Amino acid sequence: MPSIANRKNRIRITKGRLTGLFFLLIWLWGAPLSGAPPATPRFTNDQGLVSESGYFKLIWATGKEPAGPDNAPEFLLQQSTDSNFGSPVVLYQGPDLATFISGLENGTYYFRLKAIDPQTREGSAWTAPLTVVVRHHPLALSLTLFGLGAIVFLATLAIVVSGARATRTNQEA
Amino acid sequence: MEHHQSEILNPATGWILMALLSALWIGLGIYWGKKAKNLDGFMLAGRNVGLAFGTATAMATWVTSNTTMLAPQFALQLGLWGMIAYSMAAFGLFLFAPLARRIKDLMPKGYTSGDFIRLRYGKTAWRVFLAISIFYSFTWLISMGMAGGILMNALSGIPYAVGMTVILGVCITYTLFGGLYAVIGTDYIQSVIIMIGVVVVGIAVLSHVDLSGVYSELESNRPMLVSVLLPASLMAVFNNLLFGIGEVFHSNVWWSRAFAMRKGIGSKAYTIAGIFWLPVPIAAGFIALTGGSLGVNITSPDMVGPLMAGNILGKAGAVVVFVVFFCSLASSIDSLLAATSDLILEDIYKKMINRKASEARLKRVSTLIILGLGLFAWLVCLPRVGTLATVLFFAGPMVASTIYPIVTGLYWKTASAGGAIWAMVLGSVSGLIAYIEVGWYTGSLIAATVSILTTVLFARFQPDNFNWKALDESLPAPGSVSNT
Repeated sequence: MPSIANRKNRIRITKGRLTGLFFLLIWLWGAPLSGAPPATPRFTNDQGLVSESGYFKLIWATGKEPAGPDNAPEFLLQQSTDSNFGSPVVLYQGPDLATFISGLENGTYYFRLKAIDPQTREGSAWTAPLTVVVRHHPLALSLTLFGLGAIVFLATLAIVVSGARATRTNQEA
Repeated sequence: MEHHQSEILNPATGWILMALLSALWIGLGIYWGKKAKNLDGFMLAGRNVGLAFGTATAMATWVTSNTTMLAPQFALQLGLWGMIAYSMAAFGLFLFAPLARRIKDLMPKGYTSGDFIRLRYGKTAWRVFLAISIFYSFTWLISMGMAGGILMNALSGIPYAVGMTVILGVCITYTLFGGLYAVIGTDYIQSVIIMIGVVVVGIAVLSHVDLSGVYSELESNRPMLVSVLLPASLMAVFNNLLFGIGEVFHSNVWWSRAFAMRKGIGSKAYTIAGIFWLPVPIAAGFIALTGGSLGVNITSPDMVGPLMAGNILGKAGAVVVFVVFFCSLASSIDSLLAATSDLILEDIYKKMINRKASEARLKRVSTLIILGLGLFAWLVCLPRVGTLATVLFFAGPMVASTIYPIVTGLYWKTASAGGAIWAMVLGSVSGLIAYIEVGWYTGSLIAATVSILTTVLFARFQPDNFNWKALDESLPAPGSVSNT
């Protein structure tokens, strides 16, 4: 029969092992896995967005919530007119979760995004391309409304100027 | 989720600036408010405002969040035409100059723009007009409350809800204490600060930015922003001009100033204010176009103005920008609170609810209205729905539909009540359809077009023969008031 001192000793050793295991698990959970890239982010815009004004906003979210503000990933956003991203343009690199785009000509534009770990500089996989079609309002409609606006403005000017002049003439008379 | 961008000032600096500016405006408001001995003093600053204060208040009120935050947004969305489109709103002030003289001649004892519509066109037109005018006042107030929160958050990281609450709270406090005296007095100081700030920021930006670099970046990466044929911006040019005219022509903010200024002052004050205001949106808008060449990411278009100015000018510049933007917001929120409470007090409480209310009672009710307006605006601002442009421009069609009932009502005896009512109803409906179906940059244009056609057709085929003396309520009532 083991002595009381031996039993106490075994319990102490078991406790020590369990505590070590606990801290090991905590460390494994919290520490970045060496070589594991950050999760792929995702666009929250609908696919096939059509813009008639030439401007739109791209919004995205992280693939997995970062453990803390220091671990928040950076993002790399590319734009291309080719769905295979033959000659991409870097639109943004940094921690923001959106970007506003304007001034594009008519056409189909593709955007893709990846997350970059700020410490290891390791990148996630690219998102699937997001397609945005820019199809400006017809120029004929725009010029018609521009002309209509000019006529209405000139008519307003004429009403005010002629009214003010007639009033002054009446007062002088 | 907030699409947060890194702020330029640290929050402590932001809190200190906010506290100092709040204390300054409340203190000055209380000081000037001591002049308001009676209701005429509280509502119309004793009807004795001179040229310097008159010009300053018109200019400061028109330099709002619209100018300092929406003009850059216009430039970012609509390019060069967007900047020009925004500056065209100066025509609202230019064209109101002769109207101010006419208003003062016809209604020397008038209080509100609602008074004019009621006496000129009768009660049905008056109710339609009040609905439009009060709705517009709310959208303007809400867009500025939102702008306050956005600004302080973008520049110094102060939470949106706190910044918005402080700017509304400060303006409510000093407007409560001093009425239009406090509003015009603080506007004077605010307009001086705004002008100095715009010049300082303008010079600093020009010395930091390579103009040819900005142009070539735009041409290669965002070519439509420098194109003269960008369709949306072509439509926006006259849309914004007509929206600006509608805002000034109908809103009691501008009518109350016309009543408050001494005879012969209004016309000059509005013209000079328009000249001073015209370059401000161009200067503010240009800053937005430099974003690409400086590599600044913009997550929300209504933040582009303050963010770019802060990024270009650094911490010292950001302090100047913070002060200028705070002044531009305060100078408009106070004016709007005072003028809208006058409109509700005079046109709804005094004319519809309690015609025999004593002056003391009216002043108490005015206090409650200002508090109620502020509370309502705060509640709507809190969830931050939409961008500034979408909030404000939703009122555009309604506002533009009032231009012709106002302007023909002031100059044409033949302008009729039927014409005014149908112009406002048909103009608003058609403009809102265009807003939804085509885009926000067409709503005011379509509304104004339908409104002018309706007004002119009624004046031609169902003419009134209005007696101008019916507009002066201090005279014995002539029995020929046009009623519907």
